[in-house]
Amino acid sequence: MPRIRLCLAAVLLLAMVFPGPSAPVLAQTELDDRMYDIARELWCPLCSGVRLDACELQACVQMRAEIRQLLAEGREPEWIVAYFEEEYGPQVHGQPPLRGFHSLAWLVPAVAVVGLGIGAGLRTRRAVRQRRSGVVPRIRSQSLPEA
Amino acid sequence: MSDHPSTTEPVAGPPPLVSRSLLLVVVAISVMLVLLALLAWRVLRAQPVALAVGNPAPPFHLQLIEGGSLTLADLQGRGVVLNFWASWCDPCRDEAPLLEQTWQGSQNMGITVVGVAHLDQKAAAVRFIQTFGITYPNGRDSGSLIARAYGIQGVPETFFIDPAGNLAGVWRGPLTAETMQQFLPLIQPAP
Repeated sequence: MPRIRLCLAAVLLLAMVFPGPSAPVLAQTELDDRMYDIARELWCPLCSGVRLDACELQACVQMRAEIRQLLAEGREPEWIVAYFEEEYGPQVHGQPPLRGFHSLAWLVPAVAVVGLGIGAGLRTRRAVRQRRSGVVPRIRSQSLPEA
Repeated sequence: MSDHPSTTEPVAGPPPLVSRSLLLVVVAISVMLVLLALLAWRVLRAQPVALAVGNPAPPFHLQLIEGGSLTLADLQGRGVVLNFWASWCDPCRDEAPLLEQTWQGSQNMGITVVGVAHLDQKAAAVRFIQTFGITYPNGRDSGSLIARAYGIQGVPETFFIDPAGNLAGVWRGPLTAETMQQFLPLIQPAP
């Protein structure tokens, strides 16, 4: 029993003498969090399908540092994203901008959804009407075969 | 004359040749096809034209880091060594002294070295320029417009443009003194 106590005391002493990384060191600063939030919205312009926050290329490390610096200067995230698009080209943007020709990338699926919705709505309305009026699906009149 | 009853209620009037819902589907599909065709056309058009030696080099407008701007038209009559680099690119560091040496040695022979910082930050680019004592004109390629026009695949890449503005050679990767000596005679203006 005294041996266990001695061991515990030694461990406590060691923990006091060699403390682990302090909480402020471990925790990312708020600025870093905001920087990574923005970097997650952007893509590495040199890679294929790698987000800026996850890219380990030196080019991306420098870009993240630039985001951090711009945040420290008080720039808004929207401004930074627009700045990156202007400076490094549209390939850094994860989604096509909602302007000019690029808006077609948004418009085409929207038109498809609306078109399908209208089609489905019309079909449903016709089916409901037919059910209400007791009309079975339209079949051209035909003569019954001779008995 | 036998008058048999019909199996169901006939619809008043002749049935339409094409039902309304079918018409809507056809219109929707047509609109989609037109939009898709437009997208495809735009995507194909945006592909960089393959540069071929002997063809005119794409024009560029470069905002210089030290201020002012430079266009390819400004350099008409001079040979141009157009080098794409970046501060984060290690091979670019290796070739930087050679490019400066080339500029120092051949600017009086009608050859201009032009540096284009690709996907780089201004502060980092300035540090690079200062580190290697670069004196030839350098600019940042905002929006990667020049890089896309030249269809670069990475850095460093160097394009040799003759005094008439035609592409005389392309070198992908770090330059060596031998490759420089191979290309410079192709772009040197006639005395």
